Amino acid sequence: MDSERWERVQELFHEAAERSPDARRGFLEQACGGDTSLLHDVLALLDEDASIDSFLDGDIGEIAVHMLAESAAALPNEQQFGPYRIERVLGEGGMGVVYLASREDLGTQVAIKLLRDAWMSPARRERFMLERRTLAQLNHPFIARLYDADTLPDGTPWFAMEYVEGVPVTEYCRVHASAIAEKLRLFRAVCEAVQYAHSHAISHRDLKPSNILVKDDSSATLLDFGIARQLDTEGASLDQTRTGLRLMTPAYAAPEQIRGEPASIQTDVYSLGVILYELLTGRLPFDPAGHSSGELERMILEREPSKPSSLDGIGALSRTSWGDLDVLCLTAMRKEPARRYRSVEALIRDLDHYVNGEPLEARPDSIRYRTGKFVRRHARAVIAAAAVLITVVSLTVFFTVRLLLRETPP
Amino acid sequence: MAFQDSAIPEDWELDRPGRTPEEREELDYLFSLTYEELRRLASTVRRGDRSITLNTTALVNEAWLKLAKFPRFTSESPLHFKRIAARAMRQLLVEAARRRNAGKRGEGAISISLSEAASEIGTSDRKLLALDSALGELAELSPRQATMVEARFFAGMNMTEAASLLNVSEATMQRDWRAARAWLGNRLRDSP
Repeated sequence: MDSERWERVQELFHEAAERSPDARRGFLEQACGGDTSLLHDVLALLDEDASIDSFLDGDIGEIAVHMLAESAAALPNEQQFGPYRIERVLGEGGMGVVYLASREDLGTQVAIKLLRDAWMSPARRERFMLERRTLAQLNHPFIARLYDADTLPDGTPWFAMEYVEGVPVTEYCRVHASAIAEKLRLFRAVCEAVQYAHSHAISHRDLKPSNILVKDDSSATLLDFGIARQLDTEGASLDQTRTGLRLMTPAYAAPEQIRGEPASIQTDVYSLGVILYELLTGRLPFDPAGHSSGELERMILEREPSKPSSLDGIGALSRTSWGDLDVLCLTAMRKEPARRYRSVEALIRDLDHYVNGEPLEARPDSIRYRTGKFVRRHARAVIAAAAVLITVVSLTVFFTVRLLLRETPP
Repeated sequence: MAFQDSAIPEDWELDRPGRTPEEREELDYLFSLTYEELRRLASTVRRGDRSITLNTTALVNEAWLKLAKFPRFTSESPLHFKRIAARAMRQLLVEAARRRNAGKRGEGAISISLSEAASEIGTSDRKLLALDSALGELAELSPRQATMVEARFFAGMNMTEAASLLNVSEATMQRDWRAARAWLGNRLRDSP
């Protein structure tokens, strides 16, 4: 059949359909004028038109959901990836699936990530390749390492990386009832990893506890550079137009990501602030529970988070200490990127200041705050100095009085 | 299948002659995000994290709500998005069906956990593959009708929307649909 004929078939079909069922055949036989195949085609359409059980009338929504979710859980056809053999699914994201695999000759385990449905679109393949290249650039003890990369015979690209047998940092701290000092140590490790990536002009853009795993030996590892981006010399993303287009976990997303604006290193600073907040208080600054994603996003854009110190059930610390932790979290989490810590390095500096009891750089200066900090830090020296001062003053007064008494005649 | 040769959606509107490589890339990008969002939604529904109705219209609308605020999408109309979503959904489902079919024929048996919907899926697999190839034929005869059916069936687009997308009257759309439905339905019955 060609377009012209299809036009003709439809014309006759519509004309016949307007007639009563009895009159159709007569009409068509005449109209087709001996073209039996045309007659046959139109009659078949009329038959089908009367049917009520057409596949086309169904809704594929439910089937689609089953299918989409089903294929994700399955192991790939190919189970041998170079020297590695797939054991089980570790997790899945929008782009890829991560499997646990082992290398028999060495007895080691790795995580293998592959691009699901690589045939789908060049853009997805490109992003997956970018993640591979990004990981290849990064070589840091707190970042999951890239071991190997290749492509399956069917064109599916994959890479093998360090398998981190750990739990998300928030869960680790909860289970171990970690003290604040321990939480800060883990958090600092994460900051170091992120700072290292930034120093290689890479922003992570999807920092969240599930991408930060802590092993039994209490070491933290940063994972998933799936939406990481190359930064320019100013620390802004080179790939400005595509910022945040992947639908990231909004709870850890910076306002500019929610708005779809360019990400920068400050975007990572923000997410680090949220993670610190959650580590310290056990809850998120903007709790997604009971809110639609739209409401959550509005909160992130408009509302100021409560100070960590104002929440119930937080650890026992002095007021000044909590004050500093408030400043750390809330400075990192400012709505305007320019008002946050200028870099992760600056955040780390203030963390160290806090740990050493020094004044925070982000803290607005007040004499009382600085004096208070100084006195607490140097309590012994201050007491000694005060003692010396008091002694000097007392002695001066004592001798002055004696002198006066002696010179004044009775 | 035509769509395997080119991963980029190719209705006459998306794929009009003279489209620049940048525009094609852009389209591909929107397409892959739509695909990922549909995937994500599906797993969310399956995990039972929340209850959303499982009809196609709701699924696609949900994806649009999520994607609409991203800058690359704000320049897109909801209709255009549904057009892209329809193609993404078609490719996804058809490819899934094709792979499952291949698996059943023993070409590298894969271990898929059979769900309660397995038999239902078996039937729809065959129907989907048949529909896909019939739609390919229809696209040769009448691209407009093929686009309309794709948008309706795979993205739950209604007649008014389809008419507005294709820039024809609703009455024309109704006629197009009726004939296309009959023709495709007939092809599907003939298929094994």
